[in-house]
Amino acid sequence: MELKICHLYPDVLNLYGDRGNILCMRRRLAWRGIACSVTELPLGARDDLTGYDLFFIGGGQDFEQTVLLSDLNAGRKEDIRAAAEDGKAFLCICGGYQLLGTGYRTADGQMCEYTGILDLYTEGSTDRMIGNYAFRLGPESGGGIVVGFENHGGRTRLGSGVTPLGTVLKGYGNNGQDGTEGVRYKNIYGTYSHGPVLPKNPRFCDHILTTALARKYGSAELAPLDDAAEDAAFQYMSNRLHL
Amino acid sequence: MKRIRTFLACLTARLTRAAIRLLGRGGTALPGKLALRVCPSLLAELGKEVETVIITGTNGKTTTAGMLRHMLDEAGTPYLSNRSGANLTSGIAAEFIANASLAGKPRKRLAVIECDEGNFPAAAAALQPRAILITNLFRDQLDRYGEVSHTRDYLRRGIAAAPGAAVCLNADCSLTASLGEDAPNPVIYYGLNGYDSPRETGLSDAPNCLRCGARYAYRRHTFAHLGDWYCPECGRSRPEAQIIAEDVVSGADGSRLTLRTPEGERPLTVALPALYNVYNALAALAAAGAMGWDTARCADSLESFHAVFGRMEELNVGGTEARIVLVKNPAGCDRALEYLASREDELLPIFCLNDNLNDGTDISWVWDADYESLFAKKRYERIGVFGIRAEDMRLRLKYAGADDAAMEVYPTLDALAEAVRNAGRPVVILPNYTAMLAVRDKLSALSGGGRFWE
Repeated sequence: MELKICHLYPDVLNLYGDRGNILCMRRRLAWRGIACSVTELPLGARDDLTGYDLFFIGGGQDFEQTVLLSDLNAGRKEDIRAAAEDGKAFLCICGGYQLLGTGYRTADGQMCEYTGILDLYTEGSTDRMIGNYAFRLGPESGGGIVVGFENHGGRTRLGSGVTPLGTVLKGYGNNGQDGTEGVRYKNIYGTYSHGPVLPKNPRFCDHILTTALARKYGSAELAPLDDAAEDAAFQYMSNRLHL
Repeated sequence: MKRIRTFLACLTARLTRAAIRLLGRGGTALPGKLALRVCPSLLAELGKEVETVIITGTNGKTTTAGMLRHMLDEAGTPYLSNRSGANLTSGIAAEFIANASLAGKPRKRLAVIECDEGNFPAAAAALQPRAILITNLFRDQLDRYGEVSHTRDYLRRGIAAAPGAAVCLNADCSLTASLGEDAPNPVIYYGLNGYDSPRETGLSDAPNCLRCGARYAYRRHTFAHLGDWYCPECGRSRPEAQIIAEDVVSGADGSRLTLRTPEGERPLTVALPALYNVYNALAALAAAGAMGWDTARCADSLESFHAVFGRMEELNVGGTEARIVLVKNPAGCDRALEYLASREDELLPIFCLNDNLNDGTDISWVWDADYESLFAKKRYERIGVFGIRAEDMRLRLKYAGADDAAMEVYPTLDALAEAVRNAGRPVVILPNYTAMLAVRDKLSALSGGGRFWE
């Protein structure tokens, strides 16, 4: 078995330790003897996306996201949409998650049009939602609790065409109001959780890997690993948040 | 009325300080905090007759401030300085209060002030410094500042608040250098010439041109996003530097270089390891020049400068040679890891991670630091881990390629101290800020050193 990961825009969307997610997926595949390649596609690269199994888009700064939009509008957007509709797995964090939506309204009322791949939109605010937080995954995302760190000014609202990734247990999540966190659509996983999200939540990581492998090979079963270090880090935060 | 307020504020601070000392505590910020509450314009009042240099930026503040103090010490010039690293407005105020009579008259007329980036606009506005030094700008404490561009905005506002200040900027850092582009202030740039190291792929805190958004290119590269940068699209480029290091040879004990300034050329030895300390030395010389000090003498005194607390500082703990290298963000951490990788002897490395407010509550940056490079080269028999987020540190190291079975999680400071004392090999400790304060306090007590606020 082999998983081909495509890291989109690693040059501009790389804030908050997100590359730890790639590292985590890579190691957890390698520990099981599953081959894995990671291709970085920076701004301006015009590669065919159809050969990849899993896409990763990280978070970035506001300034860099404007740079990014012109690249997305130069053809990349359609390729991403096609891959998403084709059932390819996506893990999108924070800014990368917002970019999949229809748009972003800045705190001073300016409207930025995003890719519109998913039925969600985001409203900016100068008041950032920051801190350790936790949410419970929906059953279609493997269930279980995820702990992470969120740091976003944007409030995201989901439309009717998508479902949340989970429900907030501690912290803010999508908007601090409706109790939802992240998004699910086909095999897309979007979340505000960085920190990075996967290392401390190994079952969530394995769930995404399984999804991508199953899409490619029809079915996939991942052998269990020694997760003592992962569980200890999860447990620490879980205790601290009084879960 | 103003004088009464100043008096009351100074009195409040003194009493609080005395009370804290009686309790044997080292709280350096509280007296200033209370005094500022009594008299919000206190810093401007007390700073009026003091000629100040403010040092800010992501990395190197404390070391550069230490170099400037060392220059003044050698020249026998009295000064005040927030030397314990209390670099918020409250800590700075406390220092000015300690320097003033109860009526608010300053005793010393010169100040070397290290200032946190977020507090810089307020401090610059109040103190109206003669010189401002901005060392560099990297991603740091994103939970507090949000994003690097927000931090840059704080720095820009601070410069704008002090129109009379000469501004010293790192030419090799595109984010920092850009602050000189639209400031009406006189600007002095410093940087490295003729040094080139292979460009790392992957992470950069400043990949794109701030004006046009195109990707920067580099004629030469030192580390992280520092180097001789330019924008191939709009033509913005690294400004020409006036304080320059050439022919840099960096070794385990320090760096040798040729210093070139408008006054001429001379050889210089920086007695602190790592290339970033060459930047710190240039920064200190630029600031010394901006303050009107005798730069030839300042360069001389740099040669005898050794570490400030917790920055490459060496302690002897019951026979164990222990070096503490503060790491607070990916850029600084990568330099420390390079240092660790360069040590050929068998070591006990100890990685400490706290997430208190002063560290930044978001520890995700440890995943942006390049621990992989270290563990690709080194296999340690034992690896120590400590701090509030010790388990996260352990996890980070596991994914970097460290052997999980070699890892020892020290549950308490005492356990860490025991491990250091009985290590039977040199120890190198990489803590972030509050972990460094705690570890250093503990270890220096064991090695007979003073506590940091003394």
